[in-house]
Amino acid sequence: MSVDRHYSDRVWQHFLRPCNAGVWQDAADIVSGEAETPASGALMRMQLRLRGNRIEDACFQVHGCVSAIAAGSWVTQWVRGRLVSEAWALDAAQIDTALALAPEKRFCALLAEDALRSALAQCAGSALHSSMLNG
Amino acid sequence: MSERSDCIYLDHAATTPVDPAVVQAMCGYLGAEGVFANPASATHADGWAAADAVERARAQVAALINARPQEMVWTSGATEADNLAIKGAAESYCGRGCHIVTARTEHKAVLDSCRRLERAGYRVTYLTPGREGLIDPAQLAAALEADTILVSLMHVNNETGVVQDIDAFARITRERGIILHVDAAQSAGKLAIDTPRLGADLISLSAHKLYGPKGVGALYVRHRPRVRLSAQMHGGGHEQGLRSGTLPTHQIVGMGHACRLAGERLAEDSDRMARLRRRLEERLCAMPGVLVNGDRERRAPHIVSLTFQGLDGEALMAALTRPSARSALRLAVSSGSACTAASREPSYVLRALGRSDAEAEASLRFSVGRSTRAQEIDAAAERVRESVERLRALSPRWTRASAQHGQGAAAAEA
Repeated sequence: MSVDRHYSDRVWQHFLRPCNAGVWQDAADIVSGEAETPASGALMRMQLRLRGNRIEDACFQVHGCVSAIAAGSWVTQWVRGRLVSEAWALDAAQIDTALALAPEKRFCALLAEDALRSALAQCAGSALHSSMLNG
Repeated sequence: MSERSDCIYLDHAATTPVDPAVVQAMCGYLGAEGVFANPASATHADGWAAADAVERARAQVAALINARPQEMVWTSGATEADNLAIKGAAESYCGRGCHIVTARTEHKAVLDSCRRLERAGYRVTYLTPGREGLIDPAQLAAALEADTILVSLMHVNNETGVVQDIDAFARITRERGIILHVDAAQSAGKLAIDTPRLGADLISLSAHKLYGPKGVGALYVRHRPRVRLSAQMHGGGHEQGLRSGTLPTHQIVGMGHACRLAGERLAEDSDRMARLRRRLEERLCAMPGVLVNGDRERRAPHIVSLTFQGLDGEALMAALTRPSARSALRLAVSSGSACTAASREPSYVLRALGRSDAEAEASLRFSVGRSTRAQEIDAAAERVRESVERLRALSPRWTRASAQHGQGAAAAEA
């Protein structure tokens, strides 16, 4: 039996073994962000550990469905080791493609994008990136 | 077959496997060597043999609910029985009135039949049960109007297992000459049904909930005093004109056999099921943030519905029904929502009991059966505990609330 008709293999693997699940205590080198999708009741929290302009590590928690858990896992994996500016460029479409989300689960990609940007917005000098991105 | 051994089936309220003895009995009524003739063929001995088999089965089904054989009408299942009872009675008694009373927690077959009648000009009152899922007889009495012709309330709720006080409802309806229809699909074979004492005028039964085949059911139609129904299926005038269509002899024989077995085993089966269900309930309720849906006492032996706070229902269902990182074991259970990846529709039954959308979605119905073993209950409980704890550890709502207030209080907030 194939695992599922509802979930892609990538989504399912992230759900079974989520990467970077957890919470860190607040610290000077850590930024935190949160996002919600009121319609589905999902809540994602994302934290980034920074060294200068680089994201050394990331973690997340999510109260949400299988795809939301997969999105948090994938995004925190993707941002590790990247520059803050690179992270700002990650968008929901990329998350969606990477995980092969079902069409009705695209909101999970947006949730992860929102959570990431909410954390990035706490970074020093992030206002600049944010304004560039939003044109 | 190896996959089956990795699955614990706790969805007997959805359907049961056909008992091997029932399968064997049915096989004698299909092929050329068996009794395959049309039971309506009165011109030859083969037809008579088929008709005899149908009548033996009718007596077996009637015996399960202590009714008379001639009061049983074959249908394709409980859904058709519900349709025939409700639409048939409404049409037949429309000269007397056009008001019907049912409950918001009824099966869709009842609710959709009532909706259909509303479009045809009937008025329907939908009772809301209390938080424990019970309809108060006084509430029913208050809902009756001068032109109420029919009350339809189920015996055992299919989602929560709550047992309604049908005797009390019947005392109220009989006094006023109102027809009482009872969907007993979930109670037959689990609770003793003594029809003369129960006082219902129409009772829907299903074969596949009690180890018989899918595709066959029956409607009890009281003869004394006689309940009149308009046929909903027209044709050859079978079943005293109430339900036309060639009788499926093998299905009917299967239902008869299954009802006989259910009757013989009723006391033993329900004791065992109740013990297993309680064992599961105790194991799972030992965790914080687990709520039992429906009354704790007035419950059928085989069903328990639980709400798990502090997690997402879809994720829980996915975690349990597919192999996990730690375990190949899968559970076959029902969720508190008509949930596919595409649509999330929280159970209207749990919503009617006051659960929120999120709580209804994070609910599971476990239903045990004849083949369920204590060891399976323990393994299932452990599998649920592991999944619930894993998902709660991922939930910012749950971890935050339990960090602030401890786990017990977290339940209230998450």
